[in-house]
Amino acid sequence: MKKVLWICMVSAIAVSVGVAQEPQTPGPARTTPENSAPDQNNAETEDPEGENEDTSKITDLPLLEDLEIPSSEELLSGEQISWIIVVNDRVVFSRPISPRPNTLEVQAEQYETLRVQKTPRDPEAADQFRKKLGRLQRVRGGFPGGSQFPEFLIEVKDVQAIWHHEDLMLKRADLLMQENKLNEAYELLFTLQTINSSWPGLEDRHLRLTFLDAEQLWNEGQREAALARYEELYRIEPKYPELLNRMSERVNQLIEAAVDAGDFRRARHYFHRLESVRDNLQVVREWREKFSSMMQTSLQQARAASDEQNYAQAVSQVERATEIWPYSVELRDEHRRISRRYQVLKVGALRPAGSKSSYPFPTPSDERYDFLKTRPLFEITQFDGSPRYRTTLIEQWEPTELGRNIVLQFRTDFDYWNSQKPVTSIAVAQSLSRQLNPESEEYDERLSGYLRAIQVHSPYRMELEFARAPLRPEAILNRAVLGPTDSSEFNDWFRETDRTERSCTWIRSLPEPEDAPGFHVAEVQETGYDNHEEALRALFRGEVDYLPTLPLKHVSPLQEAIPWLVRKYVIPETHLLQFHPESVLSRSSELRRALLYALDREEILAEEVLREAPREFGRLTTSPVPTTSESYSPLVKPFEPNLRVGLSLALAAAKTQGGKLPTLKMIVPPEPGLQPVIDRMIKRWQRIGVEVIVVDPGSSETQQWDIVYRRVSLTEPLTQLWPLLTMEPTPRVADLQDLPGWLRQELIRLDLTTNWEDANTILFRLHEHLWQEVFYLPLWELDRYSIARRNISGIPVNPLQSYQDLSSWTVDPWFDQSQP
Amino acid sequence: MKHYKQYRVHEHLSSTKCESRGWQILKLTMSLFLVLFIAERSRASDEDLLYRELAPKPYDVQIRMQWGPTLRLPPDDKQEIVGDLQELLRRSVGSFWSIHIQQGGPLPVADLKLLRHGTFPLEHQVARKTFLVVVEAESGQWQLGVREGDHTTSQWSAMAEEIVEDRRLLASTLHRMIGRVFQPLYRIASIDRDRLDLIAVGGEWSISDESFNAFPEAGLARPVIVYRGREKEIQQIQILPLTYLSLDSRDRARITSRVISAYPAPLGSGRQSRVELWALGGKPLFSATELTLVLQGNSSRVLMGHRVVVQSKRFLKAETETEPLELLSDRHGRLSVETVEGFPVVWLYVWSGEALLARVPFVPGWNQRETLSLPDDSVRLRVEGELDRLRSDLVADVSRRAINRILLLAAAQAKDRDEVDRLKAERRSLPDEETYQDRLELILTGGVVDSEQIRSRVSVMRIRKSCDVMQKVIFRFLDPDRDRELETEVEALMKLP
Repeated sequence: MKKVLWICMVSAIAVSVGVAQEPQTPGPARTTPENSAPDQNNAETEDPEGENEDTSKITDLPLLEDLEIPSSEELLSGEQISWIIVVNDRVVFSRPISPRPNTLEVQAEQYETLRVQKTPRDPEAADQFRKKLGRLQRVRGGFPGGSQFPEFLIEVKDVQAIWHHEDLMLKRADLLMQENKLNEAYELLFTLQTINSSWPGLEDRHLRLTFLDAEQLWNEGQREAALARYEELYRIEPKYPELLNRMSERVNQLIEAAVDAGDFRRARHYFHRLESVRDNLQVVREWREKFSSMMQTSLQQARAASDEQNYAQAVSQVERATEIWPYSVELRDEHRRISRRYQVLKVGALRPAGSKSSYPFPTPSDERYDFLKTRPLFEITQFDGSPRYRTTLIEQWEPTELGRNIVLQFRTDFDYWNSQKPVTSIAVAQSLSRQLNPESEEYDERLSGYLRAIQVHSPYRMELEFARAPLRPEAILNRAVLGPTDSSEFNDWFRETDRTERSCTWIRSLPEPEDAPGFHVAEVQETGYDNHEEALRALFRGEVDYLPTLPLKHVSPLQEAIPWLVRKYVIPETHLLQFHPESVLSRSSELRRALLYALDREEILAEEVLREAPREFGRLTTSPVPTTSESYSPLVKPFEPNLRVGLSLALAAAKTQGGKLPTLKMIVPPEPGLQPVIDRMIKRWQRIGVEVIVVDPGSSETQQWDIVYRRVSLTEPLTQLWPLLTMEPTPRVADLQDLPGWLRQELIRLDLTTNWEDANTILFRLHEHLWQEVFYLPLWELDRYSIARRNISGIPVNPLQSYQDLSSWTVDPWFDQSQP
Repeated sequence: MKHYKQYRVHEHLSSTKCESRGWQILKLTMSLFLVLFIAERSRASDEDLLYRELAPKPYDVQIRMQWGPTLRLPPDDKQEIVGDLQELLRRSVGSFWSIHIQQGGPLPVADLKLLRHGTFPLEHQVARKTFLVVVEAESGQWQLGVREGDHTTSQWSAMAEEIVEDRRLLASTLHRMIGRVFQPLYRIASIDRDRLDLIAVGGEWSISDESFNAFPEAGLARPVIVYRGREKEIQQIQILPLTYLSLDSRDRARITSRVISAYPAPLGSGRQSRVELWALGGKPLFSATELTLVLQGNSSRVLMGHRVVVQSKRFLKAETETEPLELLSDRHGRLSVETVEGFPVVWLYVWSGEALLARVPFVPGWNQRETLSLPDDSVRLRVEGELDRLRSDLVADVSRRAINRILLLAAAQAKDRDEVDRLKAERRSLPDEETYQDRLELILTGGVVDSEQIRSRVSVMRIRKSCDVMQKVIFRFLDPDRDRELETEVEALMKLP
C-alpha cells in the first residue's frame, strides 16, 4: 500500500519536474514513451528552464536524510530498487537502472561521443540521432512494483547521484560491519559477489570484512581461526592497514601461550607461520633468538646430566632441546650421542598400559601391562598353526618317566640386554607352592591338578612330578615366577616409574652395563590418545615412534611408505559376543540363535568394521580360535543371516519368558570406533523385537549385563578356551557350574587329555557344539598390525605381542627437524 | 530239612484229594502258623540270650597315652594328668567300666599325623575298646589327638583333635575328646524291613554323661557285618557303605532303629548263619566331610565337575526346612559337604547333566574324608549333548517351516503361482522328519554301542528313553501329514475364484 502511494506521488512530481511518464503497458488514450519522447525532448531542449517553474513540487519527494538504507532482508528478498537522488537531496525510487554501475558517467561519456559526431543527412537517421542524444541526456527509470508500472525519464542535470540496489547493499554491509553483525554483512556481500563480482567497492568491503572477522574470532577465543583469517587477508592484500602489526601482536601472544604451556612444537608452528609472512619482523627476530637460547640452555643441562651418568635426565633434556629449536647441527650431534646411550621408545596407544577401566575384561592395554611387568617361565614366541614356546629363564628342561617328571635346569647367566636376573629353583618352588595353595591369590587350580611334587635338587636345578603327564608342560607352567611384590625377590622385567592419566613410563629393571658394546631400549614411554587417528598424527609428527595398533584402513598406504615399518601380528583378533551366565540369554538357546540369525555379519564387517580397509583383512568366523590354528575346524559352516527365522526364534524365546523379552544390556570395550558397529547390530536386533542397550559397566545400576563385546586372540586353545568360556582369568571347575553337564564334561576331558589326537578331536567337537548352541557369538576375525618408524629395529617380523623381545630392540636417534 | 518239609506237605495234600478244599486250606494255614510260631520262639530265645549276654556287659576300656618327643613334662605331671583323666571318666561312666590307662602305645613315635592316618590291628574281643591318645607340644600349645578302636568290629574312629593353651585343661579336654570319639556298640538282633531291633552293649547300665550314653539324642549308627568261618573264626569284617541306622526309641538296652540307606534292604533278613550284624554308633566330629567322587570300578579316576545337590529330605519334591545346596566336584573330584543343623543325615543327589546318577544318604562330619563311587555316565552325557543340539536345530527348522507356511498361504491367497512354487520348493529343501529321524537314529546307535562297550545297561536304557522322547517331539513338530494338508490347502486356495 505504501509502495502504491509512493508511486502515485512520484508520478505526479516527476511530471512536474520534467519527468515524462513512459507507460509500457498499453492503456487507453495514453501516449507511448517512444512516441512522446521526441516531443518532450524537443520541449526540454527548447525550454530548459521549465523545471524551475515547478520546483515547488519537488518538495513532495522524500529527503535523502530522512531515508534509511533498506535492511538486509529487504535487500535480499525484496524488489531491487535504485535511488535516484535529484536536486535538493530528494530521492526518486526506481526499478534497476541501466547501464550500471556508474550510470551517469557512462551516459555522459556516450553522450559526448555521440555529440561530436555529425548529424546524418538522411532525415530519418537524423531524427534517430537526435532521439538518441535526447535519451542520453535523461536517466530512464521505472516505478517500482513490477513491469506494469510506467517508466519515467529524469534529466541528467537534475540527478545528483544514483544509488543502485548494489550500492545500497554495500552501504547496508558497511552499516552491519559497524554494528559488528559480520554474518549478515557476509551474506550481503556474498550475494553481491554472485550477482556482480566486479561491482565497485565490493573488494574493499571483503577485505574489511575479513579483517573484522579475524578480530572477532580472536576476541571469541578462536585464535587459530583468527590467525588463518589474518593470513588470508595478507595473501589478498599485504598492504592492508595495520595488518602486519596486528598479526605480529597476535602471533606473539600465541607463541607466548604455547611456550608457557611447554608446547614448543606449537610455539614453533606459530613462529614459522609468521616467519613465512615476513621474516624480518621484530617479533620473528626476537623469538628466533629466544628459542635458540632456550635450546642451548636445555642442551647444556643435558650435557651436564650425561656427564653425571644420569642418562634418563640427559635424554629428557636433549629431547626438550629438540622440541624447542631443532635446527642446529650441534644439537643433532649431541642428541645422537646421548640418545644412543639411553634409548627411549615412545609409544602411542589409546590407553597407556595398565590404565584402569570399568570394562571387566582384559584390554590390549592390560595385555601390554602384563607383558612388560613379568616374564613367565615359558612364553609363546611363534605360531604356525600351533604355538611354539620358548623360555629365557631355563637352560634345559627334560621330561622323564614318560612325561610324568620334568627336570628344569635354570640359567645362571643372561645376555646383558636381557633385563633378567637369574631365578633360583627355590624361588620357583616357592612361587609354584603359592600357585598350589588354594588360600593364595596366585592359586592355579589347573596346576594343582597336575603337579604332585616339587623337588629342589640344587639352587639351579629342580624336578617337577606330575600326577599325570601333561600334554604340553609349557602350557601349564607359563605363568610368571615372581616373588612377593614388596620383596627383593620380585623378579620383574620392566618396572613402572611414572604414571599419569594419559601416560606411563617403564624402565628396565636391570640396566645395561656401562661398558656394553651396544645399547638397547632402556625406557618405554606410553602416551594415550583419544583415537587411532590422533595417535597416528602423533606418529607422523614424531611425538611417538611406535603404535602397537595400526587401524586397518591405514595399513596398505603405509606399508608402501619408506619411513615406516608395518608389522602384521601372527595371531589375528577375534571379535565375539559373550553372554552373562545369569542372563536370560544363557538359559535360552532360541534367543541366542535369534540374535545370531538377525545379524548380517558379512555386511557389518564390510561396511562398518573394515570400511575403507581391504576386504582380506577381515573374515567371518565361527570360533574364537584363530582360523589359522590347527584347532579351528574348517567343517563348521556359518549360519546364513535370516531375519524371519530370527524373528520366529525371538518370539519362541519370548513365549518361554512370559510373552515379553527383557531389554538386554550390553557392555563394550572402552575403544573408539566400535560405536557404529554396535549401533548397527542393535538396529538389526530391534528388527526382530529384541531391545539391546549399551550400558556403562562401571555404573552400579548396570552391574548385571547380558552381552559383552570382546576382542580376543587365542594362542593356545587347549588351555585358553575354558577361561574364555567361563570369563575368568584361570580355569576353575567351580566356574563351570552354569554350563550344561555335557559341555562341562567336554571341557574337563579337553583339560585332561594326554595326546594331541584326542585334544584336536575334542577341540573340533567343541568348536562345532559351541557354535551350534551359540554359547558365544563369534562375529569376525581381523588381522592386526603395528607400525614403527624405521629407526626402531629388533621388532620380530611376525610378532605375537606388542613388546615381544623388547629388551633387544634398539632405537636409532631421530628427531623431527621439519617445520611443524 | 526244608526239602523234606516241602515233600511232606506235598504228599499230605496229594493223599487227601477227596477232602474238601476249605479243609485243606485251613490245615495248610495252621501248619504254616505252627512253623512260624516255632521259628519266632526260637528267634526270641536267641534274642534273649544275646540280650542277657550283651546288655549288662561292661566295656573293657584301655586308654594308651603317648607323649610327644618335644613334650617336656615331668613324669609326675604326666601321672597327675592320667589320674585326673581316670577320675573324670569314672565320674562319667561310673565304676562298672573297666578302665585301664597305660602310658605308651603302638605308635613308633607319638605323632598326630601317624595317629591320623595309621591303622592298627585290633584283637577281636566283644565290648573291648582301645583309645589311642597323643599329646604333643608346639609353640607353647598342647596339641591333642584321640582315636577309638572297637575290638568287636575292628573299626577305628576318626581322630578328634584339639589345641589347648593351659596345661590344667589337658585332662578335661582329653576326657571330652574321648567322649566325642566313643562309638557305642550295638548288636542287630532282628530285622523287619527297614526296622531293626538293636541291643546296646552295656545298655543295662545307666550312664549320666550323654557322651558315653548308648542312646544319645538323634543318635546314629553304622552297620558292620562280621563274617565268620566254620570254626567261628572271623573271615571278613565289612562296614556297609552309605547305610545308617537312626536310633529312634529305647526300652532299657533294646533300641528300635530305622535303616537309612542308598540300597534297598541292605542287611537282608539278618538270619544267615555265621554272619553277625553289629552297629557302631558315633557323632559327627568335623564340621564338614571332604567327599571324593570316583568312578565305579576305577577308584583312581576321579569325577570332576559333577553337580551334587545336598538336601535334607529324601525326595526332591518334599518340602524341606533348609534350602538345597548345590555343589560341584573340583579338579580332584572333591567337594566339601558341611553339617546341616538339625539334620544329621542329609541326602546327596548326584547329577550328570539331566540324569540323576545317584541318591545317597550321608552324614557330614562323621569322617573327615569319604569316597563315593559312581557309574560311568560319559556316553549318556555325550548323547544328551547331541540331543540338545538336535533340539536346537529342530527349533530353528520348525521356525523356518512356520514362516514358510505363513508366506505360502499368503501367496496362495494372492494367487501368485510363481511365489507359491518357489515357497514350495523352499519348504521341500528344509530338513524334514525323515532327516531328523536319521540323525536321531545315528545318535541312538552310537550311544547304545558305546554304552554296551562299557557294559552300562542303565546308560543304554536311559539313552533309549531320551531318544524315544525326542522321536515323539520330532514327529509332533515335523509330521509329514501336516505338509500334505498344507499342500492341499494351498491348492484349494489357488483354485478359489
